[in-house]
Amino acid sequence: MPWDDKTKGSGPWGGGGGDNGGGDGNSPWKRPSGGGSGGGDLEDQMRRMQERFRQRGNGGGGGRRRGGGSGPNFGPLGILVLAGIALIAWLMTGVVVVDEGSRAAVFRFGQWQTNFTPGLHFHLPAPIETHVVMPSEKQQETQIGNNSNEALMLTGDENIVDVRFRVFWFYDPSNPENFILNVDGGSELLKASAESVMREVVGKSKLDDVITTGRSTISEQVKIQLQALMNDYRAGIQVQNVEIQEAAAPAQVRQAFIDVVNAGQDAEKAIQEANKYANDIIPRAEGQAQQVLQNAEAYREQVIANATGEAARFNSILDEYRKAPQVTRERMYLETMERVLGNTDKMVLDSGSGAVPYLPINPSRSSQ
Amino acid sequence: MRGLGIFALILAAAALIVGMNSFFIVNQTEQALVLQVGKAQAAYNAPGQNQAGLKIKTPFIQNVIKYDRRNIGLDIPNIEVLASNQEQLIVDAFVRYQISDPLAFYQRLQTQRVAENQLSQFTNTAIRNALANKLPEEIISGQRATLMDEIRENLSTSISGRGIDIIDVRIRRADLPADVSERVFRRMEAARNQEAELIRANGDKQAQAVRAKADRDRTVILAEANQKSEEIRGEGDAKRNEIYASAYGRDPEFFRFQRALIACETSLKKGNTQIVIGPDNLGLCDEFIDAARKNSK
Repeated sequence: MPWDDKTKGSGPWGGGGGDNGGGDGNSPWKRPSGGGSGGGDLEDQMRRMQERFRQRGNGGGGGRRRGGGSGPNFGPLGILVLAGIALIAWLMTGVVVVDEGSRAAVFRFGQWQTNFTPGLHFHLPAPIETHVVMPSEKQQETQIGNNSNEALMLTGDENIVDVRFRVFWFYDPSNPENFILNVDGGSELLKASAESVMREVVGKSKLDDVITTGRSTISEQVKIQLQALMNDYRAGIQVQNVEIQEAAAPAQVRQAFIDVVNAGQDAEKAIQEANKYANDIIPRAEGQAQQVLQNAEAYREQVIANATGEAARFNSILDEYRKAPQVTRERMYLETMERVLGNTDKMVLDSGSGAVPYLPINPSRSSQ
Repeated sequence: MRGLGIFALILAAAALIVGMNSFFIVNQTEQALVLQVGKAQAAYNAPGQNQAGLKIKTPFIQNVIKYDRRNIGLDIPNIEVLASNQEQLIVDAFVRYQISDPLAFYQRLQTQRVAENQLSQFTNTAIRNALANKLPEEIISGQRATLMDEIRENLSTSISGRGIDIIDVRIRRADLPADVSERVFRRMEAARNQEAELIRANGDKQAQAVRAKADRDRTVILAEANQKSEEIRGEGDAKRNEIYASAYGRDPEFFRFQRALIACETSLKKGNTQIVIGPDNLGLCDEFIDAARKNSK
């Protein structure tokens, strides 16, 4: 290609007229030199200006007189100075300062040439070469889901979920120029693609996964698919990460979702109250059981002690009785009768007296 | 001298105009079609070629038409699709396309605006056709990728010959219309209410179980205590009987006598007994002890 030959050589401008003259027939630069404009013209001016300065250096004040003689006063000199300033200003359009974190894509007549790294660079002045600064290492952020149209998505189980997320991205470090060269509206493309991918991924997920545990999986999947899509488009975009800021039930049904959480707490509370009840009654029952047992043991000890006592009493009476059985029997009988009859109300009726015994029922009790 | 200067000036101006008309710049992001009095002469920098830069043309008789060379996006919003179960879906899609053949593009469409107009219509049709016999869940989840491929194929076929290359068609959103969304919301609400009820009921169930178990435990604890208690009492009674038996066994006859006396005395306690007796029967307790007396002789 003719243009490539030029750039590999000394450059269309560095060579000046000589280069133009020696160029091959296809060269577009043949025409400007032939037409007498462009490089040739400039060369001419430069030469004349150098001549003028030389004259001033040699003649001192005389230069002015000589200059005045050859034309209108100061005219040519003034024009030359202005032309010089214009030339410098023009050359300055080729100075590029690239900040750290940026790259400058350089174009020669619209054709991309190279990227300048951070620092001071020169390219041929405009309009021959131009540049576009790209914030290639700056982290860009695209927010998706600011309005409900964007945020509400259908899930795989035909529910609707509210998802708001951010995509962090930057220009592809290996080919940042792709971002401005290959795609129209790169940021908008990223946003639309991210939304499409997110909806596709959410559309394959279940609502409960989206709003609870599945978030990181989803954002990872979105990142991978989105990057693949960007690579397909050769969009010069590197997706850094996809951050799901919110994945929740839509506002219209949020109350019902909150109620589920509340229900969990209610259930927890009911169980705790039941536990409290259990903790209350079981120790009491155990205490009661202890009491029953202690009572029983007390009874056992009591009856054994009583029996032992009675047995001892009987034994001692028996010993005594065996010494004199008849006497002891009589004595015991009489003593008992004495105690019994001495302690009770009695009425003695003679069976032969003929009196009819008329007994009031419980006279002593009714009088009480 | 003066006339020569003017002539030179005119010549220079003419040269400039001719020169300006002899060159054109094709940017990296553009492609150009050169027409010579209406007939296509050359195309520069079509996709796949790297021909950007400064170009020459014959002044005045050739003119240049430039097109975008990039991957261009076109949004196609609000396509109303009727799914196979008659449920309506609102689909937003976007197409990424590229002008691949500037001559064909110029012949058929001329401008990007016309192209996008046609592209919109074709995409609309392709999407409706592809989705019409699918169920909403297939559109939303399962076959989305396949469907998008299918739409892209159809669109490529229908748009062919126009110098346009379809890079991708993507469904951006597939949403339900407002009234259907409302139904979905109600269903979600109902499902959650059910879940909440279930959770509460389960909580109550567990609480009830805990209470019931506590009650059971209490009953069992008390019953076991009573059982143990009866055993202990029985043990005591047995021991007592054993003690009595071992003591009274030494002389059963005397025991009966002595025990009869005790019984007589305790049953005729002071204060609660009235006795009516005849003089013959002053030996009141004879009946208690008769047998004992006889046996002792």
